[in-house]
Amino acid sequence: MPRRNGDNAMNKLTLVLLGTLSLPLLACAGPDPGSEAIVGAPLDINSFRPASAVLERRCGTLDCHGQPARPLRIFGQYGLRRYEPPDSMNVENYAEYYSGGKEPTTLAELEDNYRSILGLEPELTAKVYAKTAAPETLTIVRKARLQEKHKGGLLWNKGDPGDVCLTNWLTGNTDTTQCEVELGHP
Amino acid sequence: MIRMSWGHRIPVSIPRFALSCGLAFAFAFASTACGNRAVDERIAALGDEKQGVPVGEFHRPGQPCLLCHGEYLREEPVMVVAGTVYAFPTTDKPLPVKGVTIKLTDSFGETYESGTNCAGNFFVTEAQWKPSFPLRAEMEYPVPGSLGSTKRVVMSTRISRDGSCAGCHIGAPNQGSPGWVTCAEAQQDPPFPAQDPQCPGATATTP
Repeated sequence: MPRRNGDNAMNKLTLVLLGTLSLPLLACAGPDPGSEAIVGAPLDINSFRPASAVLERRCGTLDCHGQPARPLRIFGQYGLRRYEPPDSMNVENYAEYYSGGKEPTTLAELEDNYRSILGLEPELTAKVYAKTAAPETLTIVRKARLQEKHKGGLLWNKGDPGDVCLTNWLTGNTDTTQCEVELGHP
Repeated sequence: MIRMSWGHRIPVSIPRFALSCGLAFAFAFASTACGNRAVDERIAALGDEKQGVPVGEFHRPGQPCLLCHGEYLREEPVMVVAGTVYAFPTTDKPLPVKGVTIKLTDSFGETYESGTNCAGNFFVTEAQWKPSFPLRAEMEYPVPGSLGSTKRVVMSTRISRDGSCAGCHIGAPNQGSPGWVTCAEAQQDPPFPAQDPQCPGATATTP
Protein backbone atom coordinates (compact mmCIF):
# COMPACT_ATOMS: atom_id res chain seq x y z
CA MET A 1 0.00 0.00 0.00
CA PRO A 2 1.50 3.29 -1.01
CA ARG A 3 2.36 5.65 1.85
CA ARG A 4 0.98 9.10 1.93
CA ASN A 5 3.17 12.15 2.16
CA GLY A 6 1.52 12.97 5.51
CA ASP A 7 2.80 9.67 7.01
CA ASN A 8 6.39 10.44 6.00
CA ALA A 9 6.15 13.88 7.53
CA MET A 10 4.72 12.40 10.74
CA ASN A 11 7.58 9.86 10.96
CA LYS A 12 10.17 12.59 10.50
CA LEU A 13 8.51 14.70 13.17
CA THR A 14 8.49 11.76 15.58
CA LEU A 15 12.21 11.17 15.01
CA VAL A 16 13.01 14.83 15.57
CA LEU A 17 10.95 14.87 18.77
CA LEU A 18 12.61 11.72 20.08
CA GLY A 19 16.02 13.12 19.29
CA THR A 20 15.23 16.40 21.01
CA LEU A 21 13.87 14.68 24.11
CA SER A 22 16.87 12.37 24.42
CA LEU A 23 19.36 15.25 24.39
CA PRO A 24 18.60 16.47 27.90
CA LEU A 25 18.79 12.88 29.15
CA LEU A 26 22.30 12.58 27.76
CA ALA A 27 23.26 15.97 29.16
CA CYS A 28 22.12 15.04 32.65
CA ALA A 29 24.25 11.92 32.83
CA GLY A 30 26.63 11.88 35.79
CA PRO A 31 30.34 12.66 35.55
CA ASP A 32 32.69 10.15 34.09
CA PRO A 33 33.85 8.02 37.06
CA GLY A 34 37.36 8.09 35.67
CA SER A 35 37.51 11.89 35.43
CA GLU A 36 40.00 13.80 37.56
CA ALA A 37 38.59 15.46 40.67
CA ILE A 38 39.25 19.19 40.95
CA VAL A 39 40.85 19.95 44.29
CA GLY A 40 42.02 23.47 45.02
CA ALA A 41 43.24 24.99 48.25
CA PRO A 42 40.73 24.01 50.96
CA LEU A 43 38.50 26.58 52.64
CA ASP A 44 40.43 26.77 55.90
CA ILE A 45 39.14 30.00 57.42
CA ASN A 46 42.30 30.59 59.48
CA SER A 47 44.57 30.66 56.46
CA PHE A 48 42.06 32.04 53.98
CA ARG A 49 40.85 35.02 56.00
CA PRO A 50 44.21 36.87 55.82
CA ALA A 51 44.57 36.09 52.09
CA SER A 52 41.00 37.21 51.49
CA ALA A 53 41.63 40.38 53.48
CA VAL A 54 44.49 41.27 51.14
CA LEU A 55 42.31 40.64 48.08
CA GLU A 56 39.48 42.63 49.66
CA ARG A 57 41.77 45.64 50.15
CA ARG A 58 43.69 45.46 46.91
CA CYS A 59 41.17 43.99 44.46
CA GLY A 60 37.73 44.25 46.03
CA THR A 61 37.26 48.01 45.89
CA LEU A 62 33.82 49.15 44.83
CA ASP A 63 35.12 50.47 41.51
CA CYS A 64 36.78 47.18 40.59
CA HIS A 65 36.16 43.61 41.74
CA GLY A 66 33.77 44.95 44.36
CA GLN A 67 31.26 45.56 41.59
CA PRO A 68 28.43 43.04 41.43
CA ALA A 69 28.73 42.53 37.69
CA ARG A 70 32.48 42.02 37.43
CA PRO A 71 34.23 38.62 37.26
CA LEU A 72 36.17 37.67 40.41
CA ARG A 73 33.58 39.41 42.57
CA ILE A 74 35.03 40.07 46.00
CA PHE A 75 32.96 40.89 49.07
CA GLY A 76 34.43 42.48 52.15
CA GLN A 77 34.25 44.92 55.03
CA TYR A 78 35.69 47.82 53.03
CA GLY A 79 34.02 47.07 49.71
CA LEU A 80 30.87 45.42 48.47
CA ARG A 81 28.86 43.66 51.15
CA ARG A 82 27.03 40.44 50.34
CA TYR A 83 23.29 41.05 50.32
CA GLU A 84 21.83 40.02 53.64
CA PRO A 85 18.34 40.78 54.97
CA PRO A 86 18.16 42.54 58.38
CA ASP A 87 17.34 39.28 60.21
CA SER A 88 20.21 37.35 58.63
CA MET A 89 22.06 34.92 60.87
CA ASN A 90 25.25 35.64 58.90
CA VAL A 91 25.60 39.15 60.35
CA GLU A 92 26.24 40.01 64.00
CA ASN A 93 25.72 43.77 63.93
CA TYR A 94 23.49 44.73 61.04
CA ALA A 95 23.75 48.47 61.81
CA GLU A 96 27.47 48.25 60.96
CA TYR A 97 26.97 45.97 57.98
CA TYR A 98 27.77 48.40 55.21
CA SER A 99 30.76 49.21 53.04
CA GLY A 100 33.37 50.57 55.44
CA GLY A 101 31.28 49.65 58.50
CA LYS A 102 32.63 47.93 61.61
CA GLU A 103 31.13 44.50 60.87
CA PRO A 104 34.07 42.35 59.75
CA THR A 105 33.92 40.29 56.59
CA THR A 106 31.43 37.53 57.36
CA LEU A 107 31.91 33.78 56.91
CA ALA A 108 29.34 33.86 54.11
CA GLU A 109 31.35 36.56 52.36
CA LEU A 110 34.56 34.57 52.82
CA GLU A 111 32.91 31.51 51.27
CA ASP A 112 31.76 33.56 48.30
CA ASN A 113 35.26 35.01 47.86
CA TYR A 114 36.70 31.50 47.99
CA ARG A 115 34.33 30.36 45.25
CA SER A 116 35.13 33.47 43.18
CA ILE A 117 38.86 32.73 43.23
CA LEU A 118 38.67 29.00 42.63
CA GLY A 119 35.95 29.38 40.03
CA LEU A 120 38.16 31.43 37.72
CA GLU A 121 40.36 28.56 36.57
CA PRO A 122 39.36 25.52 38.62
CA GLU A 123 41.49 22.88 36.92
CA LEU A 124 44.57 25.07 36.82
CA THR A 125 44.08 26.14 40.42
CA ALA A 126 43.99 22.46 41.39
CA LYS A 127 47.28 21.89 39.55
CA VAL A 128 48.88 24.84 41.33
CA TYR A 129 47.68 23.47 44.68
CA ALA A 130 49.09 20.06 43.75
CA LYS A 131 52.32 21.84 42.73
CA THR A 132 52.21 20.41 39.23
CA ALA A 133 51.89 23.93 37.80
CA ALA A 134 53.55 27.20 38.77
CA PRO A 135 51.41 29.92 40.42
CA GLU A 136 52.13 32.34 37.56
CA THR A 137 50.14 30.11 35.23
CA LEU A 138 47.07 31.51 36.97
CA THR A 139 45.47 34.65 35.57
CA ILE A 140 44.82 36.05 39.05
CA VAL A 141 48.54 35.92 39.83
CA ARG A 142 49.66 37.37 36.51
CA LYS A 143 47.13 40.22 36.46
CA ALA A 144 48.12 41.41 39.93
CA ARG A 145 51.75 41.47 38.78
CA LEU A 146 50.70 43.24 35.57
CA GLN A 147 52.29 40.44 33.56
CA GLU A 148 48.96 40.41 31.76
CA LYS A 149 46.78 43.38 30.79
CA HIS A 150 44.94 44.55 33.89
CA LYS A 151 42.68 47.59 34.02
CA GLY A 152 43.35 47.88 37.75
CA GLY A 153 47.08 48.21 37.10
CA LEU A 154 50.04 46.86 39.06
CA LEU A 155 49.15 45.62 42.52
CA TRP A 156 52.48 44.09 43.41
CA ASN A 157 55.59 42.58 41.88
CA LYS A 158 56.66 38.97 42.17
CA GLY A 159 57.96 38.36 45.68
CA ASP A 160 56.23 41.36 47.25
CA PRO A 161 54.24 40.66 50.42
CA GLY A 162 50.86 40.63 48.66
CA ASP A 163 52.17 38.31 45.96
CA VAL A 164 53.68 35.91 48.50
CA CYS A 165 50.46 35.99 50.52
CA LEU A 166 48.37 35.00 47.51
CA THR A 167 50.71 32.37 46.10
CA ASN A 168 51.24 30.84 49.55
CA TRP A 169 47.54 30.32 49.94
CA LEU A 170 47.13 28.98 46.41
CA THR A 171 49.89 26.42 46.99
CA GLY A 172 48.61 25.32 50.39
CA ASN A 173 51.25 27.10 52.47
CA THR A 174 49.49 28.28 55.62
CA ASP A 175 52.11 30.91 56.53
CA THR A 176 50.15 34.17 56.45
CA THR A 177 52.89 36.48 57.73
CA GLN A 178 53.23 38.28 54.41
CA CYS A 179 49.48 38.89 54.30
CA GLU A 180 49.79 40.84 57.55
CA VAL A 181 52.75 42.76 56.09
CA GLU A 182 50.76 43.67 52.98
CA LEU A 183 47.78 44.76 55.07
CA GLY A 184 50.13 46.98 57.08
CA HIS A 185 51.04 48.98 53.99
CA PRO A 186 49.32 52.35 53.78
CA MET B 1 8.87 56.74 -8.90
CA ILE B 2 9.27 53.33 -7.30
CA ARG B 3 6.91 50.55 -8.35
CA MET B 4 6.55 47.86 -5.70
CA SER B 5 6.02 44.22 -6.68
CA TRP B 6 2.41 44.25 -5.58
CA GLY B 7 1.64 47.07 -7.91
CA HIS B 8 1.64 50.10 -5.63
CA ARG B 9 3.63 53.12 -6.63
CA ILE B 10 5.59 55.25 -4.19
CA PRO B 11 6.16 58.81 -5.38
CA VAL B 12 9.90 58.93 -4.55
CA SER B 13 12.78 59.09 -6.98
CA ILE B 14 15.28 56.24 -6.79
CA PRO B 15 18.30 58.42 -5.85
CA ARG B 16 16.33 60.11 -3.09
CA PHE B 17 15.07 56.73 -1.86
CA ALA B 18 18.62 55.34 -1.83
CA LEU B 19 19.87 58.42 0.01
CA SER B 20 17.13 58.10 2.61
CA CYS B 21 17.94 54.43 3.17
CA GLY B 22 21.61 55.22 3.45
CA LEU B 23 21.01 57.94 6.01
CA ALA B 24 18.67 55.73 8.00
CA PHE B 25 21.25 52.93 8.12
CA ALA B 26 24.03 55.36 9.02
CA PHE B 27 21.96 56.82 11.84
CA ALA B 28 21.02 53.38 13.12
CA PHE B 29 24.64 52.24 13.01
CA ALA B 30 25.94 55.35 14.72
CA SER B 31 23.34 55.13 17.46
CA THR B 32 24.02 51.47 18.23
CA ALA B 33 27.70 50.95 17.48
CA CYS B 34 29.42 53.69 19.49
CA GLY B 35 27.25 54.26 22.54
CA ASN B 36 27.42 52.62 25.92
CA ARG B 37 23.90 52.29 27.16
CA ALA B 38 24.95 51.59 30.74
CA VAL B 39 26.90 54.85 30.93
CA ASP B 40 24.30 56.79 28.94
CA GLU B 41 21.63 55.80 31.45
CA ARG B 42 23.79 56.84 34.39
CA ILE B 43 24.44 60.22 32.75
CA ALA B 44 20.74 60.72 32.02
CA ALA B 45 19.94 59.91 35.65
CA LEU B 46 22.08 62.83 36.81
CA GLY B 47 19.40 65.22 35.60
CA ASP B 48 19.68 68.81 34.46
CA GLU B 49 21.96 71.53 35.77
CA LYS B 50 20.81 73.29 38.93
CA GLN B 51 19.39 76.72 38.26
CA GLY B 52 21.80 79.54 39.04
CA VAL B 53 24.89 77.35 38.91
CA PRO B 54 26.91 77.93 35.76
CA VAL B 55 28.68 74.99 34.14
CA GLY B 56 32.16 75.04 35.64
CA GLU B 57 34.14 74.09 38.70
CA PHE B 58 31.22 74.60 41.08
CA HIS B 59 28.56 72.64 39.25
CA ARG B 60 27.09 69.26 40.09
CA PRO B 61 28.73 68.67 43.50
CA GLY B 62 28.45 65.10 44.71
CA GLN B 63 27.97 63.67 41.25
CA PRO B 64 30.34 61.26 39.47
CA CYS B 65 32.33 63.84 37.49
CA LEU B 66 34.08 61.43 35.15
CA LEU B 67 30.87 60.13 33.63
CA CYS B 68 31.06 63.23 31.42
CA HIS B 69 34.61 64.47 32.05
CA GLY B 70 36.16 61.03 31.56
CA GLU B 71 37.31 58.79 28.77
CA TYR B 72 33.78 58.12 27.50
CA LEU B 73 32.37 61.58 26.67
CA ARG B 74 35.62 63.50 27.12
CA GLU B 75 33.86 66.75 28.01
CA GLU B 76 36.44 69.48 28.61
CA PRO B 77 38.27 69.54 30.89
CA VAL B 78 38.98 65.82 30.79
CA MET B 79 39.64 64.68 34.35
CA VAL B 80 41.44 61.74 35.93
CA VAL B 81 40.22 62.18 39.50
CA ALA B 82 37.46 64.43 40.78
CA GLY B 83 34.95 64.62 43.56
CA THR B 84 33.33 66.51 46.40
CA VAL B 85 34.28 66.57 50.06
CA TYR B 86 31.65 67.06 52.75
CA ALA B 87 31.96 67.71 56.46
CA PHE B 88 30.27 64.71 58.06
CA PRO B 89 27.74 62.00 57.17
CA THR B 90 24.15 63.15 57.28
CA THR B 91 20.81 62.18 55.87
CA ASP B 92 20.04 65.88 55.30
CA LYS B 93 21.79 68.16 52.82
CA PRO B 94 25.53 67.50 53.22
CA LEU B 95 27.80 70.42 54.07
CA PRO B 96 30.64 70.99 51.56
CA VAL B 97 34.07 71.87 52.95
CA LYS B 98 36.37 74.41 51.33
CA GLY B 99 40.15 74.28 51.61
CA VAL B 100 40.59 70.52 51.91
CA THR B 101 43.87 69.30 50.40
CA ILE B 102 43.60 66.04 48.48
CA LYS B 103 46.86 64.14 48.11
CA LEU B 104 46.99 61.32 45.58
CA THR B 105 49.81 58.82 45.09
CA ASP B 106 49.90 56.52 42.08
CA SER B 107 51.30 53.00 41.82
CA PHE B 108 54.73 54.33 40.81
CA GLY B 109 54.91 56.67 43.80
CA GLU B 110 54.15 59.89 41.91
CA THR B 111 52.06 62.31 43.90
CA TYR B 112 49.69 65.13 43.03
CA GLU B 113 47.77 67.54 45.22
CA SER B 114 44.53 69.36 44.63
CA GLY B 115 42.20 71.43 46.80
CA THR B 116 38.46 71.82 47.27
CA ASN B 117 36.59 74.99 46.39
CA CYS B 118 33.58 76.48 48.17
CA ALA B 119 31.30 73.83 46.63
CA GLY B 120 33.54 71.11 48.09
CA ASN B 121 34.58 70.19 44.54
CA PHE B 122 38.11 69.31 43.49
CA PHE B 123 39.43 67.90 40.24
CA VAL B 124 42.65 66.83 38.58
CA THR B 125 42.71 67.13 34.82
CA GLU B 126 44.37 64.77 32.40
CA ALA B 127 46.58 67.67 31.29
CA GLN B 128 47.83 68.16 34.86
CA TRP B 129 48.54 64.54 35.79
CA LYS B 130 48.31 61.12 34.19
CA PRO B 131 48.52 58.67 37.09
CA SER B 132 48.96 54.92 36.98
CA PHE B 133 46.18 53.25 38.89
CA PRO B 134 45.68 52.11 41.61
CA LEU B 135 45.87 55.34 43.59
CA ARG B 136 46.24 55.98 47.28
CA ALA B 137 44.19 58.92 48.53
CA GLU B 138 44.41 61.02 51.63
CA MET B 139 43.15 64.44 52.58
CA GLU B 140 43.86 67.14 55.10
CA TYR B 141 40.97 69.28 56.21
CA PRO B 142 41.08 72.53 58.19
CA VAL B 143 40.06 71.79 61.76
CA PRO B 144 37.04 74.00 62.58
CA GLY B 145 37.85 76.81 65.00
CA SER B 146 41.57 76.12 64.90
CA LEU B 147 43.46 78.60 62.76
CA GLY B 148 45.91 76.84 60.41
CA SER B 149 45.51 73.44 62.03
CA THR B 150 44.64 70.49 59.81
CA LYS B 151 43.68 66.87 60.31
CA ARG B 152 44.63 64.00 58.02
CA VAL B 153 42.22 61.33 56.80
CA VAL B 154 43.46 58.36 54.76
CA MET B 155 41.20 56.34 52.48
CA SER B 156 40.90 52.74 53.71
CA THR B 157 41.23 51.21 50.27
CA ARG B 158 42.79 52.33 47.03
CA ILE B 159 41.15 53.82 43.98
CA SER B 160 41.41 51.02 41.45
CA ARG B 161 40.03 52.49 38.25
CA ASP B 162 37.19 54.99 38.70
CA GLY B 163 38.44 58.53 39.24
CA SER B 164 34.98 59.75 40.24
CA CYS B 165 34.73 59.78 44.03
CA ALA B 166 30.95 59.63 43.68
CA GLY B 167 31.26 56.50 41.57
CA CYS B 168 31.41 54.69 44.93
CA HIS B 169 30.90 57.39 47.58
CA ILE B 170 27.30 58.43 47.21
CA GLY B 171 24.40 59.01 49.58
CA ALA B 172 24.19 57.41 52.99
CA PRO B 173 26.36 54.37 53.77
CA ASN B 174 24.88 51.08 52.60
CA GLN B 175 25.97 47.62 51.48
CA GLY B 176 27.24 49.01 48.20
CA SER B 177 28.64 52.40 49.26
CA PRO B 178 30.56 53.84 52.20
CA GLY B 179 28.61 57.08 51.74
CA TRP B 180 29.83 60.56 50.81
CA VAL B 181 33.50 61.46 51.22
CA THR B 182 33.52 63.21 54.59
CA CYS B 183 36.15 64.85 56.78
CA ALA B 184 34.79 63.64 60.10
CA GLU B 185 32.47 60.92 61.35
CA ALA B 186 30.15 63.51 62.95
CA GLN B 187 29.66 67.23 63.39
CA GLN B 188 32.42 68.69 65.58
CA ASP B 189 32.63 71.26 68.35
CA PRO B 190 33.25 73.97 67.24
CA PRO B 191 31.21 73.03 64.18
CA PHE B 192 32.24 73.11 60.55
CA PRO B 193 31.50 76.56 59.09
CA ALA B 194 28.45 77.00 56.89
CA GLN B 195 28.93 77.22 53.14
CA ASP B 196 29.78 80.67 51.79
CA PRO B 197 26.45 82.09 50.54
CA GLN B 198 28.32 83.73 47.65
CA CYS B 199 29.39 80.31 46.36
CA PRO B 200 27.56 79.43 43.14
CA GLY B 201 24.85 77.00 43.99
CA ALA B 202 25.09 77.61 47.74
CA THR B 203 21.35 77.51 47.91
CA ALA B 204 21.04 74.66 45.49
CA THR B 205 23.84 72.26 46.25
CA THR B 206 21.70 69.29 47.21
CA PRO B 207 23.31 66.47 45.24
